[in-house]
Amino acid sequence: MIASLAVALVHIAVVGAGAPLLIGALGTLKARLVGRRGPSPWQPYADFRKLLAKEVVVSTTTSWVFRATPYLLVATSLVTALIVPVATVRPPLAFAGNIILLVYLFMLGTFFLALAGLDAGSAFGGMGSSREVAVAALAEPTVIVAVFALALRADTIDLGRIVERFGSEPHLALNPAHLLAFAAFFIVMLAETGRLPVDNPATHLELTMIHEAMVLEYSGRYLALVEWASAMKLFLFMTLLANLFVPWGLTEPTGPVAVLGGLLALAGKLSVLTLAVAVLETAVAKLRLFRVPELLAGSFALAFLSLMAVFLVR
Amino acid sequence: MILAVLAVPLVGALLTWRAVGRLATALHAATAALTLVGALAVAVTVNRAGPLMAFDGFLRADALSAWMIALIGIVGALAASEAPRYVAHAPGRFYPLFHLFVFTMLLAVSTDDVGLMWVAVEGTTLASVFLVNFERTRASLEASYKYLLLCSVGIAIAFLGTVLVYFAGIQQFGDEVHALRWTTLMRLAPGLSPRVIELAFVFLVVGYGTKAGLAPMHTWLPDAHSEAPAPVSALMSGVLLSVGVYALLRFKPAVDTAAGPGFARGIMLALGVLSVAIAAAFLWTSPNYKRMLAYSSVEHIGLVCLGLGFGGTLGTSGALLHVANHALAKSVGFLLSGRIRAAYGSAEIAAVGGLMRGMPRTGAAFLAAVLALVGLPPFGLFVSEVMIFSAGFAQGFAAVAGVVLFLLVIAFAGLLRGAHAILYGPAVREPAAEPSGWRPALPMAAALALLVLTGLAWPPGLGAALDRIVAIVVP
Amino acid sequence: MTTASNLLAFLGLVVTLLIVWRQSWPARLRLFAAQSLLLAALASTVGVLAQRRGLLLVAAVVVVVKGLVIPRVLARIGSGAPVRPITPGRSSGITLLVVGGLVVAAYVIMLPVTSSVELPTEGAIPLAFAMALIGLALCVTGRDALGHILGFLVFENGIFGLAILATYGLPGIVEAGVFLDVLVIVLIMEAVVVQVRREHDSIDVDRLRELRG
Repeated sequence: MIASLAVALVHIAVVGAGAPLLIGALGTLKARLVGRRGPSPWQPYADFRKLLAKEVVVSTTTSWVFRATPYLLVATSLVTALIVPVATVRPPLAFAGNIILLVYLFMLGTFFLALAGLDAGSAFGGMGSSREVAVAALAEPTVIVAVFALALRADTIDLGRIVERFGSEPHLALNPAHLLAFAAFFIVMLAETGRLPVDNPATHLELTMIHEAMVLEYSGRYLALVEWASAMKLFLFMTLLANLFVPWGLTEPTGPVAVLGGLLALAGKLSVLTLAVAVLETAVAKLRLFRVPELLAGSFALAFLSLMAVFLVR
Repeated sequence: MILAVLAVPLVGALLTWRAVGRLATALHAATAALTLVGALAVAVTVNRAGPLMAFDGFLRADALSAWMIALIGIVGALAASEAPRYVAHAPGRFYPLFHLFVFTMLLAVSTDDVGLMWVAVEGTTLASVFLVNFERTRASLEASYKYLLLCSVGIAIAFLGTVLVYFAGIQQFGDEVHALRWTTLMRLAPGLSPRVIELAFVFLVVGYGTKAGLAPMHTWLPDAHSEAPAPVSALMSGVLLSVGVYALLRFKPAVDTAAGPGFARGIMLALGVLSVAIAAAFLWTSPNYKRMLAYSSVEHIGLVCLGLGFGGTLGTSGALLHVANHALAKSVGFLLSGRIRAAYGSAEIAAVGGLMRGMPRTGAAFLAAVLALVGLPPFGLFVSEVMIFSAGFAQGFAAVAGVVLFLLVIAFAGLLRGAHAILYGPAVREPAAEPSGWRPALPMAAALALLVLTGLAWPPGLGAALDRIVAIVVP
Repeated sequence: MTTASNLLAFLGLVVTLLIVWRQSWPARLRLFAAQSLLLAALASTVGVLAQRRGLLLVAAVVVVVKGLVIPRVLARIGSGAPVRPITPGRSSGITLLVVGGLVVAAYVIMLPVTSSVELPTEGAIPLAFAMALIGLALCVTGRDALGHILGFLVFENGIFGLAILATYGLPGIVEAGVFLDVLVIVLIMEAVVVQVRREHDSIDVDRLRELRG
């Protein structure tokens, strides 16, 4: 009982506190790759503190949705942190079918954020919401198909057990289906978390922004919470990528040593992934919006192929 | 002897590569004449003494091959006799490809190895692309592009079918080198896996059917046959389509043995009816008389397919006779249309009128060719069509035969309508002078005479030859 | 041999998917070269593991002809054409979804073949056939001459792969004939496309619409 509570706290602490560091490290890496010195990796924490102290300006034409969404986003992210296997093989909320809960929690956050973008009645917000929903409509099926490909391979639909199965029988993971699912999931991660080449997180141009358009109206602590939630989303997607597809380093929660070992392994995998994303973001240009569906359809085809491969390439 | 027949056009192609002027024409005529003589010699020898072989059975000419070889020789000579008037400006581009084309067709029908047959059929496409595009107009460019693409894809599908046949062969019997030989295939046929053979045959029909001009894979045919110069159209329409049917005919007995006769029959009947139907429709709507003749080819190949589908002695020999008759009639038709086009300057029906008055001998010959194509006696197509339809009624396919007869009437009317407009319509312009004397008329008159012969009184040995072929094809 | 052939065939299928996905023709040519190299690897693997020395020669010829010569000729065909289609037009999204359907269709169609035999390479046969079907789809939906011929070549690659997997290679004459045939087709296609480009100033075959009826 105490142990599982402790594990749950570890999950929340790691995800909550580690997410801004991830975003910061990504920013620094991107800057270094193009020859600038860039901000320090701890910058997002400073931004967070600064935003919390600022005054909140809320448009009078908004409803409760606008004010509730930041809290909802943070809440869904933290609950998702309890489902994703972060440091150990058995996450706190482990039950059969939790991959479906995972997808729906992400979707809940996206849904409310889209509504909030519409809520203020500004042109940018509506535009951002429609783009975001278009992307999500193509990306969500890919998430489900890719994760189900893994689940079928591991014969279970419990995230924890998938990781356990792949960890203990590595030969199951060494097949092309895995690689395809990884590629599909990687592309979807870029799409869902608003990274290049789908969306540019550093821009506020009407032509190019998706996520930024939806949160344009937020200020002060609301903005802090929204930024924190999107950082946590990126952290969670990366953790899924790292731990579902490369599950080594994760063991049973038998004690603080095991948990620490898992955290170290996670840190290693996340740094590799962050480097990969940084290189990718520096190397590619943002896609024109009408080409985003092509990219996502391609990732869906990859996920579909990986699902087929489970049955057909033995 | 097979080697000699194959070598003649190949050597001729090489020799005419660099030749110009009178030398080129002379070489071309010599090659065509020698090919004809060789082909007829092979045909007679095979029918008298049994199959000819070379290279340890790699090249093999049995009765079916002999029929096709003789046909290729005759139609080749016919087309070659008309060729010089079309190639005055660039003989170096035409003659080598012409004889190479003839060579590949001869190779396709005289080999025992179905893999080599595939390579040779592919070779016919490659050799004839630039022949189709000889005139280098926009329309002929489009036609040759479509021809190349569609036939290449079709042949690749046929390759898949060949691979599957080979697979079925070595699956059961493990002897790789000879599993692609037709004679081996016939020997192994009863033991081959039926479902694999069925799948292979579907691919083969789609693939070789593209080459043969069966609907719905025929879309390249009207374009290519109408845009090519007349001798090439004659060769393609008369013989190339028949080579496609020959390829299918080689596989049919194996399929009938391995998978039961109903499977191949169903497919061939379906495609035959579809071809006749589509051709009948388009015959009514073609504004161009060369395209009209091309659609008539699709219709006749559909009839051949029907004959093969009906099966039995009557159906099969009727189909084979029809192949030969159609080749003769269609070549004459295309060669004459080439002359008409040269005289009137256009291939549109509307631009040609009063042919009978303007060019009486050409008009009479054209009328004869059209009547032959429509299937009227005393020309041979009447006899072969009667044989095919009797086979249909005898084998119990009265409904199919009835539908096709009805479609034939529609095609009949369409073709006659076009021909009537050309021959007896109001004259739009004055044609160029008709070539006089008996020499230009001789080849075509000979061909028409041959057609009458097959229609009225079969020369001795024809019936026996057909019987020998039926023995090969109907297991 | 099963895992090796399955893996290579699957990678070939993924590369085919990428060919459908990518829109710029230089990228497609590079992917085609990669696919041919995978095919050569497949031929060598089967050749070594099933002791068919002839297949090693076949693999070498594939590398030279399909990996080097043909992409060069194709690059000449495509030079001058815009790298990416200028108008949004038909995106590859629908085609990608069709690709999924084609993979399933390939498995269904090849059932008679795979169920009739116990070859170690049989698992990969439907994958090679799927590659061929996708090539055919590419050929049908190709927008210009280069798209058509690339689709045809992918189709040919798929059938070739199927031949290697199902029969461990065909007799020498036929193999030679196949290579020669593909090479000559590409060369002839180049000559025809050069003429098309001279006439219409582009290789977009939608402009070839004079012959109708």
